[in-house]
Amino acid sequence: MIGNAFDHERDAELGALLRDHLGPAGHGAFVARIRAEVARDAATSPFDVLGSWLRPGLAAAAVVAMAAGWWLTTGVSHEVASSTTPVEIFASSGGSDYMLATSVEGR
Amino acid sequence: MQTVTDTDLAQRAAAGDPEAFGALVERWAPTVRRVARAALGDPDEADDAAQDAFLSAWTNVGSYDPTRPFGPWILRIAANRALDRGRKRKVRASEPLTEERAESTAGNLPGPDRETERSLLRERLDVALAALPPRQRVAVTMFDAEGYSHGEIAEVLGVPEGTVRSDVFHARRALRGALAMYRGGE
Repeated sequence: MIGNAFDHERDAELGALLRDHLGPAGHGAFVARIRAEVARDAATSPFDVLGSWLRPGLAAAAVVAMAAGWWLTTGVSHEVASSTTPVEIFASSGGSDYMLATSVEGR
Repeated sequence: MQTVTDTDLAQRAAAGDPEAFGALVERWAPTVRRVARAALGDPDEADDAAQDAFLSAWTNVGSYDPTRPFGPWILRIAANRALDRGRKRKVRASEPLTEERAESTAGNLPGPDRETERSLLRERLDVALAALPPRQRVAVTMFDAEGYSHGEIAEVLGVPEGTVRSDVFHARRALRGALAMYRGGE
């Protein structure tokens, strides 16, 4: 082993020890795992990705459309039917008397 | 001799060839896994980091500059992944050894049994490495075990070259000190 720790030469003995110590087992299995992942990823086309987004997107759009349809047909018609018309408001607030008095005074 | 260069393989991989990338993995897996293990200690966690690094490299191989060597590029990804994992790790389950235990094992070295001696040497090295900061472990591994220059290591780790020199110096001094009694007897 080289004595000076700050020199620029490789320490071949320490290097060999480190390579041996850190040397991982199962090289073949590791490489096979990565190859399989990469092959799977390469086989997945962008259209597959878009397709995977399409189904939930369509389902969400259908739900929104159904909700909107229900609101337009049921909610709005119910609101119109139950609301008070302007004529009824006018009559209940005594508006006709007020209008009559105003028009008489104008003369 | 490699008939197809790393650059050729990387360019084919960038064009979408998984076989070319697989060949790069075959070539670089040992180094990448050693550097990841130097950073993390635990072999399984290191392999997870190395796998992340390779898959990230596959996704981003289009950004690889073919005018530069492939090794530092993939090692930069791997070192970043491994060091990030190390920073996030709360419990260092793979490094339960302490200096106290190392002293006790060193004191019980049984004479001529080479296998036992090798085993104790490995354990001693394990302890000494575990006591070093992760960046120092990566720096000394890349310098002495993988043969990279200080400049290349600086580029991989994203630190100044002087920092790498200092890291290698401190790591070497610690490792040599820890292994001195074993090396002297050989």
